[in-house]
Amino acid sequence: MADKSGTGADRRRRFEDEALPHLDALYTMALRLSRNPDDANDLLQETVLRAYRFFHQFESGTNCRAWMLTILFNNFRNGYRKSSREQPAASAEEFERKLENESLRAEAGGSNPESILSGQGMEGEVETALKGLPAEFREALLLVDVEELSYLEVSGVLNVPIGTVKSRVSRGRAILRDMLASFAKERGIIPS
Amino acid sequence: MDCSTYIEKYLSAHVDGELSAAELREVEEHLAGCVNCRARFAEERAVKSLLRERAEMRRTPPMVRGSILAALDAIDAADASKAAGRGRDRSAGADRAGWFSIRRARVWVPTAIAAVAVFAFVILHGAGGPTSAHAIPPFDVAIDHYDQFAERFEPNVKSALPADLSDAYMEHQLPGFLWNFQHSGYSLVGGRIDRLEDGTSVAYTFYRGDNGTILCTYMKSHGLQPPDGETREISGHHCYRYRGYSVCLSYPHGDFICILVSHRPMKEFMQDIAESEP
Repeated sequence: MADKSGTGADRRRRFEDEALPHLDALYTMALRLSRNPDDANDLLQETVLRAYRFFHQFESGTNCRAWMLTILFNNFRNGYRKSSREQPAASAEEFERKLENESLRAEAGGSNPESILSGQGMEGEVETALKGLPAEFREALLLVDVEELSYLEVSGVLNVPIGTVKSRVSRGRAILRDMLASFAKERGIIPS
Repeated sequence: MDCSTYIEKYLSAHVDGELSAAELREVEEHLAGCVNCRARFAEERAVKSLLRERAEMRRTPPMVRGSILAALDAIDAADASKAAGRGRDRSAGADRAGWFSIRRARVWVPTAIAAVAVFAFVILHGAGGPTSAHAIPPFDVAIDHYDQFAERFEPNVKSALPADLSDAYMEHQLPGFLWNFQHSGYSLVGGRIDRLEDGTSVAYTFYRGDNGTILCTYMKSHGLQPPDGETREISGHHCYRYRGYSVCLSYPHGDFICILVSHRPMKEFMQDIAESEP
């Protein structure tokens, strides 16, 4: 098959321009899915390498982040969700500690606008509420609200019909709203 | 439109900009005269913004980023040396694709018959003819292969590891998602990729367990609409009894359909599907 993406150097350049800017988004999602930084690193690496191998299949002009998230979710599921089902999950404290370490290391590496916000404002509440959501609602909401994917794109990523995406977003946001409402009202973020 | 219809059916999609023009008109008409729903809309939008702004974003640790870039370099180097060798030896680059080019030369007779059935359906459907709830040719393709494979399944993808199968399917532009029925007691036997008459690829993944077998078929949707008639839904997938088999239809991607077939009674089959969900 002729290499649609051109020469090797050309493919590499295009990949760096179009795909690698999504690395942090993929890493964040990998951490959320595997709930363990070591598994998240493996999942991220596997995802990026597969995306690179199949980059000729990516249609320029379509949403590269959605395409890579699809590969990430496929990899996660194809890996038979080893961290959540086959291995004993790390304890909650250990998980938090690891996340904390990862976060400190990342901050030491350079300025991170998100880290400036963390610890103040609503991060704690938003994350706590998110963690309290059933996984299927949480994933749909994150893909729509944070990754800014369309329902159609989310349906591809999660491998579910578009109507299911719609209902998961709707129910997930309703639950999240209830969880956040009292705090948000105190702060005047939503009308009381 | 009343308030509960708006909130239950339209609110989220409205905030997400996912309504059709007609729906949007209807919704705006309702909001113009309903102060409560306008407030509810503002609230929903605030929750969305809050999540977008405040959900944690992690930076890829520099070491992980570095090892990814190094792995990309290694792939580039391997590809470059493969390309250099290809001039001398045409077979050198055929390692992964080899099994498929052999298969491509001989199309199975059942596959060809099944493909004709698919096209008959497409023609009927495209001509505006009534879609029969009794004849769903893509289901027939899946069922005929299910019967054949239950007796003897010959994979043509060399590896039966989910990641390798997924790679092989993706190389043929098929969905890379693989069902996992491990927790219902099925193991993955293997996969095969064939072609329908129109040249589109079809992938079969076969599972075997103590209680029976399941075949997953991926093919182009050919515009198939979910059949009418009695249907049961599990996790957004539609299940049917068809020709005495339990069949589950889902849409992994817009262009593709996924058909699961089993001899298991519907209730148990739906339980297997439910347990396979992430």
